[in-house]
Amino acid sequence: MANLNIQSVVERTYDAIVIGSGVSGGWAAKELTEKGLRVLMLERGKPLEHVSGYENAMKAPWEMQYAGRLTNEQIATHPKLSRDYPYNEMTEKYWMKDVDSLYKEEKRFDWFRPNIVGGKSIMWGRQTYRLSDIDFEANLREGIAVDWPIRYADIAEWYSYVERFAGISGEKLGLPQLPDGEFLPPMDMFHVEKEVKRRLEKHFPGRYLTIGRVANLSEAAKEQLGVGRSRCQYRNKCNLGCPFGAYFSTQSSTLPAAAKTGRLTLRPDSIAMQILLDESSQRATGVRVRDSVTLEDREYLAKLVFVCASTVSSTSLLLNSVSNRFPDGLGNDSGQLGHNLMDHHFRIGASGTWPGDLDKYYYGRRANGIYIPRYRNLGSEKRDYQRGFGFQGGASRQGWQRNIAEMAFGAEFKEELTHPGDWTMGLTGFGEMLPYFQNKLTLDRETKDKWGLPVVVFDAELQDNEKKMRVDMANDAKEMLEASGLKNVKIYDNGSFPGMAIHEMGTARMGRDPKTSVLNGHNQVHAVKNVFVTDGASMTSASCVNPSLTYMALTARAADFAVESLKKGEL
Amino acid sequence: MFQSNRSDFSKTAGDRLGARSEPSELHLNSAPCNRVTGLILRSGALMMKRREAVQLVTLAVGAFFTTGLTHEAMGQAVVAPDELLAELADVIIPTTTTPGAKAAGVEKFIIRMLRDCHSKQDHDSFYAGLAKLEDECNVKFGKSFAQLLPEQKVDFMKAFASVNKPFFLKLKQLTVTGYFNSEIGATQALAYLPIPGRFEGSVPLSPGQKAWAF
Repeated sequence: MANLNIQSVVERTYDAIVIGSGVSGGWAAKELTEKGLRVLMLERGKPLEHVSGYENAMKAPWEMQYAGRLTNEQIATHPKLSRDYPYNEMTEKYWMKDVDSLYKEEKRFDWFRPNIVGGKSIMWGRQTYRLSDIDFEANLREGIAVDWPIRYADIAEWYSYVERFAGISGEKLGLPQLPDGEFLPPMDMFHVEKEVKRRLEKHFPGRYLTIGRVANLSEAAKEQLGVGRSRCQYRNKCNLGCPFGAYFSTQSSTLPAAAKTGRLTLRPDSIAMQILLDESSQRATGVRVRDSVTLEDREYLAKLVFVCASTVSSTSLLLNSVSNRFPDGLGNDSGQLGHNLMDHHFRIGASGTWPGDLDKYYYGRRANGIYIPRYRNLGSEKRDYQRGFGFQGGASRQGWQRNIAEMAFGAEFKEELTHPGDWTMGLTGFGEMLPYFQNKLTLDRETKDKWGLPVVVFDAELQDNEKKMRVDMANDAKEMLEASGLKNVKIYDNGSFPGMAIHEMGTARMGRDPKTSVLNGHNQVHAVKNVFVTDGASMTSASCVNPSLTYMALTARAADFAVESLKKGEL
Repeated sequence: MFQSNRSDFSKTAGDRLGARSEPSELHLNSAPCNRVTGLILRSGALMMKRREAVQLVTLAVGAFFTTGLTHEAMGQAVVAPDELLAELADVIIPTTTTPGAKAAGVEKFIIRMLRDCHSKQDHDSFYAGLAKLEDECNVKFGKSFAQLLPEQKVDFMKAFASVNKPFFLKLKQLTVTGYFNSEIGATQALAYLPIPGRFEGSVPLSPGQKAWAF
């Protein structure tokens, strides 16, 4: 019997455990296996094979039952997810049923939870931008929250590292607020966008309009060809999974790289319940895992734990990892765990009609838009709020969905709809949300979900700074579009609640001082040196740019540090 | 042939409805709605004028539409909902140089959407609108919408739409969405290009060039 136990322990022991297989987890698995470690990657979601698993990716429109719409039944089982576009007929299998783990909202929070290997890296919007020192210095400069323990110089080479592997298409601008990256050729812009760019940049010196920086392969370089990816076919069905591997996801990129080493074990249907702590050494010994199907628990052991379960899940895991040493959650000496929850606020901007150019059309469907980098509160400018926002947007010609004349029908009506309509263009602002202690998530230990985990309670909202910023976001969009020649420009504000941007971050922030932060400058839990948290939970401030590229860079950098520390016997 | 025991109840029933015993007003012919009328009356209902009978038809037809009864259950009395919807959709998106909504089977999409993706209230309200359309058509023309001449259909649709705007707009929206997502709509009425392979932001639009299907 003793032999069986020893054998069982050996089989459950790895060099490193990575919790989560999304953008961050995939990178952790790749880096750690490539550096020689035997890695167990745990994923709570279902298996999803690259290419063969993308059931709907190549379907024709008539193969849909409901033109993409949700059924009443789906709305009933997904009351939170059905609030917004990412959950729809075609992505049904990628998302978790809300009713299986019905989280609570003191204030509205839209939490998008995937249910697959790869996590949100399958469905993400793929916009990729670097943070700058303007972001890293902001908290210190403004006396808000705590200082980032790193600066741009610490992470710049890691941005380059992850960009080269992931394959990022974009255009260099030389702007301090939006550092350039390692870019594949930029995607083309529509004539209208080029014209608007020309006029906008002339009319508003210091403002720039560029093509989006996006994790789609305009060209496949050798790093991408090496894992079997090929270039974008401009189908614009990315969120269904790409049979060409043309955008960065765990499945297309980091997973094959990790698998190639022969040192990766991937265990789907595996919910991390608790990080196991050896109190005397103050080191994690492993992870207790519940099989989501059988509901049986097992313990997996490792020298190193990378927590990459996505912001809310990572912090929830730490909160749930209670011990004598950490009665308030693993690494929570500061009391900051769960606090400083942020997201970007958006769903505000303007759009209008472009007169003319009806003899111009396009070929192919660009899975990308234009981007206007932040221009507010830079240099000496001082608005009535802190920080800033960027705009995503783009032009297009109206299709058959357009309203020609409300009561029209018949042959002429049909005929007109078979031709493209007017050019229109819109801008949607993405604004930074400050870290506020009172914006938080907690666990309701009295209410357990389908798998026996305590449900999350959200209590976060936009505060004054964000609301003031939104005034500029709306007015600036209208002003810029009008100045650029768009007609009938209308502002829209569709309301923005935390979670909707799916850039939720914070709650296990990095900082210089263990008394006021959870992680140090290497994403290492201050108090438990062999546990690293490298996903959105670690962010000390939100910037206004899409964060996933930063998660990739932080993860690769932390993995490098972790392995070096292991070698030196420091962990 | 209608047989009713008029002498037994005509006084009270007739008084209630203010109707007169005029069997010739209920001349039974082969028109579907009158067969329903005949059925109702044969089941022991009252003698009445055509208008009241048609009101009963509306109720029956409404029930027919909302409960999804088949032709058979009602004795092949009225045009089935799917056939009627196909005809209506085909007026909104007719066959031109490319096949229209009926050829594309759009009515199946409409029924599916109403059944699975709409609230019970919206579903019932739509089918009530449909029943009302048939009802008014029967009153005006003595036949189902499906049996009207093409010009009659267009005129009737126009008139009905302006008075029943929410119903019309919903019908139109479902028809247009169903059509341009259908195989006929996407591949014939529009330009279908599943795998473009490249992106060019600016290409000339040829005269008469079709819009991309998506």
